[in-house]
Amino acid sequence: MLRQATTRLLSRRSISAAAGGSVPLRPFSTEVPATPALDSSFVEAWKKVIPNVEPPKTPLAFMQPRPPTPASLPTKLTVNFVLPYASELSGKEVDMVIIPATTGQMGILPGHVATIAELKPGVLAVHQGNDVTKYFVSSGFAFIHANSFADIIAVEAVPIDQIDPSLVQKGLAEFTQKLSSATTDLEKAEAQIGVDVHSALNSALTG
Amino acid sequence: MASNAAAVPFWRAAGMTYITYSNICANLVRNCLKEPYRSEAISREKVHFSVSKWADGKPQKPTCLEVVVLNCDSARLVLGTESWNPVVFRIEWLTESKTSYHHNQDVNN
Repeated sequence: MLRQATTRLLSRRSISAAAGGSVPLRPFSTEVPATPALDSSFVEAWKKVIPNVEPPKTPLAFMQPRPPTPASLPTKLTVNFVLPYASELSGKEVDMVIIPATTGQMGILPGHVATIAELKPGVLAVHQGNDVTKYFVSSGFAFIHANSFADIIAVEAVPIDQIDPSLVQKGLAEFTQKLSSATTDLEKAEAQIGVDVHSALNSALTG
Repeated sequence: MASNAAAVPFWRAAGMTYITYSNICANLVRNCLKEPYRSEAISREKVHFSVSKWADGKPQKPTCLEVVVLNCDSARLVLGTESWNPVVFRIEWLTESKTSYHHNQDVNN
């Protein structure tokens, strides 16, 4: 299996170099090269065989090219915050985003290293100038790319003022009680999840 | 080498997948919202489907029109009641508009 990996890597490297991409793709590199808008090898091959007809557009031509990694630190972070049913923020330029990662609250500034973070139930704060917009995120992922684009995906995200404190207290009490009376592993896990989510909701309301 | 036991989250150790965990978290958050938002969120996440049993190669009348809001308890309730042999059942996922055609039992969980 490891032998195949090296041959596949080498063959992949030669293919991508021969395809005439603007920057040869280096495996495992975290840099984000600007994608070409035109598939040059396809166009050349077409013109050799059918010189009179215009080559058809390939999907590459319709896609927006990936923004390149700027040479110097960019001033703004572009955030795409999406939910399954709506797109909260789409290409919004902000100064900083604080995400509730499983490893703790993480502050993302422009020029942050490329990261993939799993989110835990907590508060997502978007800082733009002097305004801060806070959302409570149930869980999800945050992909930060090297070109200062952040894609944050969550299953459920609500502004903090839509949360009802009395329901949170009730849920917290109910799940703490379930946790102490749980028997099977699955019940314990569910009760633990309930306690975690409700305590996060609680601290979001008070903090 | 580092220790072989990777630090698995408690829910995975208990046999739950990430999707189940994420859906449970989302349902808990939805249940803690203030009134107009709460009913909107819950109705947004409802799933409608009709189940018809097959006998002698012919579909029988669709029995239950189920409107399921999946949370940790109701998921087990719905899926655990009858034997879910996929050959014997036809399950049709409905959009909101088609539910009016079926005026059978409405199982609300």
